[in-house]
Amino acid sequence: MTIPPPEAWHGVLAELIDVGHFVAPSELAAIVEDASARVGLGVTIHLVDQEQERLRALTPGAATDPLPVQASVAGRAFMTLTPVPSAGDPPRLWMPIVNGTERIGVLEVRTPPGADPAAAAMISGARLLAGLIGHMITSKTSYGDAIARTRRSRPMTPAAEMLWQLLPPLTFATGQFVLAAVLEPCYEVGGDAFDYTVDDGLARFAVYDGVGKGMSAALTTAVALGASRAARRAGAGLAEVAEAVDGALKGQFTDARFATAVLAEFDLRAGHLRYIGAGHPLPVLLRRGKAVRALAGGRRTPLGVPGPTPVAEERLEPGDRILLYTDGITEARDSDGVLFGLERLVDLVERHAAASLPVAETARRISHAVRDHQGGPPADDATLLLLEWSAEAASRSVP
Amino acid sequence: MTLAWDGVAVIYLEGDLDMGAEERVVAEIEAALDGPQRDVVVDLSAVPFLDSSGVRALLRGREAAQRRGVRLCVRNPQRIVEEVLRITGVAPLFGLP
Repeated sequence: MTIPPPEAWHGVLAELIDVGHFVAPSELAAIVEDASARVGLGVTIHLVDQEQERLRALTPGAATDPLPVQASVAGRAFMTLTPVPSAGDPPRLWMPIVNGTERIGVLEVRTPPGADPAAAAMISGARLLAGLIGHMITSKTSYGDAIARTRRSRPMTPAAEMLWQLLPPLTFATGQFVLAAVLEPCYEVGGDAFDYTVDDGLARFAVYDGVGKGMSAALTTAVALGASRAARRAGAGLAEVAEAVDGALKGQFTDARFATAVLAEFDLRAGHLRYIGAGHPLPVLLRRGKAVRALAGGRRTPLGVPGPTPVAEERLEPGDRILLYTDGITEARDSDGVLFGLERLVDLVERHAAASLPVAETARRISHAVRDHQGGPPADDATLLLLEWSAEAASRSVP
Repeated sequence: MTLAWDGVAVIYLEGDLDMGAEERVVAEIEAALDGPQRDVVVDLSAVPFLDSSGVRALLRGREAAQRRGVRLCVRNPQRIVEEVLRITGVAPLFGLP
């Protein structure tokens, strides 16, 4: 048997769209495997786990061990967002699965005997199939626990469970920019969060750090997120959003709860950035491989401690990057007490960017570097959000 | 330890001001507010570390003081502690430059 012709791949897509209407998340792997088998292809869906360490087979009762992202062919496809063929019996093609630009996992396609896994027809067919699977996984996830369970290596705390439900996907891109975030320790997060939306050429984005730890911090941050989104969707500008969060936190809690935050909006056509720093570590502007400066304008008290809310402005140049982070990144300590520090953070961003990695992969590697820096369990939540104003960076965000 | 005279109470805090200390610090400030003073000063010279929970403890103390019409100030923060108060933007609320 040879590589299926285009119409056979299209038949698989049609079948999946058709039967997909009545499928629970736990049955998704089976319908994909069945439809592919009809055209002579063996496939397995591997989903990346929450910590982005391993790729785990979605097939119920799969006997295969999880594949390490950092040390497997599947992982290479995931990290670089490129299809990777591998020799072996049978030869395989590893195709990244994304939804939009959110990295979900890797589709393993076992090629028919005698077929070349690197053939153009194989790659274009697998890209189509993985594209549909990415959409299906995303749309089915919330209807069952099977997909969420596959993506976990251990249970989550109630606070982390609640918080993740509130967060957008880790990555988003349009033709002009890409944004990626990461949040650790992902099974125990409490008060850290990130948020973004893109409408009519305006990207709005934020990071939050709710005071305290665990559920108490998560509740503070949940109120802040809810208030900011409600205000934003009612047409509020940046300063009004901050004031709405002040009001919501003051109205809900009587014990001086606050969240430090950076709230920002970026005009993707004009390159105009506006931002507020509410008691938070300063955003960093990176230009042509160097940290140009910390963005020190727009300073105010933390959200929940009402005060004057100035909005700062900055004009960006094409290719610029904006780095937002919480103090859990820079203040992570190794066993000798040495801080991870801003310098190391900026250096890693630059090094990975110079290697032309996808922005989401840069964020993943930095969060793991922070984790590895710490001898034991992390003392605090650590969040990173990286925005790059570059069509070229955006194009690296899809397979 | 709290010393009070002439309408001013000075609270000398000691040790790390973190989540473990938050309730103790709030209680100490509230106890100082029970007297007749119009000003409460929190002396941080013996506080080597302060995190966001420490900031929150001071903000809770400030709110309790405001409810009683008392002014609460902070003085003598160590360099690292002052930096946290400055970065979080609350330093001016406590009478620090």
